Amino acid sequence: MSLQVVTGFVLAVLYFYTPLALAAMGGILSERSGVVNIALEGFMLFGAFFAVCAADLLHHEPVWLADGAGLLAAVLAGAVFGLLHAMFTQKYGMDHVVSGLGINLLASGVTRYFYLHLYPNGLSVAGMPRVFFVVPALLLPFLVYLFVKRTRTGLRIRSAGENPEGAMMAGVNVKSVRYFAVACSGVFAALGGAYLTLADAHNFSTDISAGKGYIALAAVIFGKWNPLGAAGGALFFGLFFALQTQLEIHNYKLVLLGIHLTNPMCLDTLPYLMTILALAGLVGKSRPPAALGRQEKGTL
Amino acid sequence: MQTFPPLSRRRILAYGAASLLALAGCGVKHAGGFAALVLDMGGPDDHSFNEGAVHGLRMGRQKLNLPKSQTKWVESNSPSDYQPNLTALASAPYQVVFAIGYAMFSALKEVAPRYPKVKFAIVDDDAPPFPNCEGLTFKEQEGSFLAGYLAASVSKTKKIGFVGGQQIPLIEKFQAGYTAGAKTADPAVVVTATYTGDWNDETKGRSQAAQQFNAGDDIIYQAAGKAGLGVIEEAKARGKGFYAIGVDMDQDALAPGSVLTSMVKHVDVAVMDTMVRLKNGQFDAGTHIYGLKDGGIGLSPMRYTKQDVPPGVLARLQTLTQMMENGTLKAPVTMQEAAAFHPPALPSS
Repeated sequence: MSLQVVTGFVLAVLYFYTPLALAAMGGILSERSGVVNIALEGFMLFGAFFAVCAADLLHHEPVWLADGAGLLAAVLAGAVFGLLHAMFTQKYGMDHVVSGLGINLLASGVTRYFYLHLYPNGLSVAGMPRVFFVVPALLLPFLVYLFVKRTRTGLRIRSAGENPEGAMMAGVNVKSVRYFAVACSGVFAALGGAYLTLADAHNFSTDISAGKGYIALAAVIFGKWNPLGAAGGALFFGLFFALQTQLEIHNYKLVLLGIHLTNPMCLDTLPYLMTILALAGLVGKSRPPAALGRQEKGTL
Repeated sequence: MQTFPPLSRRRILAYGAASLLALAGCGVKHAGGFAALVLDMGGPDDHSFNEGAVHGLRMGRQKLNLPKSQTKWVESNSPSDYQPNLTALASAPYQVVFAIGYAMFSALKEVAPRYPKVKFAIVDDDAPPFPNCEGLTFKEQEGSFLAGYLAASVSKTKKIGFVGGQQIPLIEKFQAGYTAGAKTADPAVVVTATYTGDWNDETKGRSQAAQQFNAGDDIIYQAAGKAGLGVIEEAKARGKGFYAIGVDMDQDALAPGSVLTSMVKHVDVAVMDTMVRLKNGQFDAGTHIYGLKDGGIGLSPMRYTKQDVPPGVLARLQTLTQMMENGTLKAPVTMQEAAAFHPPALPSS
């Protein structure tokens, strides 16, 4: 194996890791505050679309300005739809999964509609190098870890997810904390989406998030709701996706009990399989935040 | 005047659920007309299969001088949309309803017998056994054969790649033809193949292409829908000396100079041709196969890359095309056949 192949492999892992890790950090914040977040997929898709839209709008301006506008648009879109998810679940007491699914469907439909009507001939942006996302995505898990474990706001987020009644008694405004956490989660996931369009594909195509939000959520659960664990999960899944390609290139086939394990369709189930194993306690005890997804009656 | 019972909460729920279902089933009542398409999940922006079908609908409309209202296309967002979409368009009714994609076969089998007066045509699969159904298929292996021959002739590393969307017989035809074509140009050329397992994931397509380029490939043929656009992006990012080969539509202009050629599958020609045949009363049940011969398949004109092709190669491509048209050369359709394929002797030029 040449050096080129090895560096190529490592880069491929990092490029898979980056959007997953960004979205997974969003997932951590939201879920640690007690709000189930399958809407990561929708946040990513919105982020991907609005980022590329804004960058395209300013394509006559200097590249850094167009990219900056793209990032800003992704952040705003993530915050807005994050707040929407928080409002549905906290203000109107909607089931968290239903609200998340609704946002995902909305994202798919809205981005599809506007993309096809605004850009009938497709679009292409100069974008930015992928490293601008990769390095922050490598650092972010440590920051989120410190934030959740070591800061006052982090403690409030955890208390909102573990024992909202107790937190309320202690004078924490649980709802505000959750609004904040879910909005942040939207922002991170949308930045993961912006990576897909601004840095990787340099264009947009419908449903470009292709399930990455769900895989990020799987990484959160696989990592036992710990930022570093979730980052490890994202890295682990990235490793397998890249490995799959390497095995195919070199024509290795792993067949076990008549199942062709290195078949891409088989490998695509891996994140979900690992999630099930994690939930079944096969990779150590896994415990979600106690109040995760609970619909509180009355005021908090 | 009709009076309605007061709306109870339950009733509101029921109405809500019903209207949701109607929405999901594309419950908009269609006005009816001459021809309509049900697109597959890729969406009309795939620069590929679905887009070609929409283009063919437009070409057919212009050829037959029909007003715009006589044609219609609808998207499918999930496999559960196929049957409602086909039903909605057939009951409108449209004279001919196209199912764009092999995945709609079983849905079509359910819907077609219920609308015997409507004609149905399914792209990429044989027709279900009903008198009102046509199957429109392509000899992708023929175009892929030419693409493989060209790639192997242009490659400097003598290693070329293939990225497929899903490991299914349809995509195997592309891989098999490509491999055999490469073998014909140079038996020493190595072909690496990977599959994305997903038609939407551009970044995955790009990642696979990057790893294949790193492994020594310098030309990669993609048949992976939108995921394949990532292959083109990677070739573009690497610049000179690296190429992608496009698929289904002429994708050369997506990255001028980085797309060596496109294996164009004229879904548009098939759709238009079927519309014209129906108008002339020549719609007949069974499967129509479009190949090089009837202009259903072919390489793009290579507007940006002709100068990169070694001399003599284009002429030999012409010879190979003729051999496939007159049946003296049969491109393989499975990898098994490709492995057993013996390259034909080409007249030296």
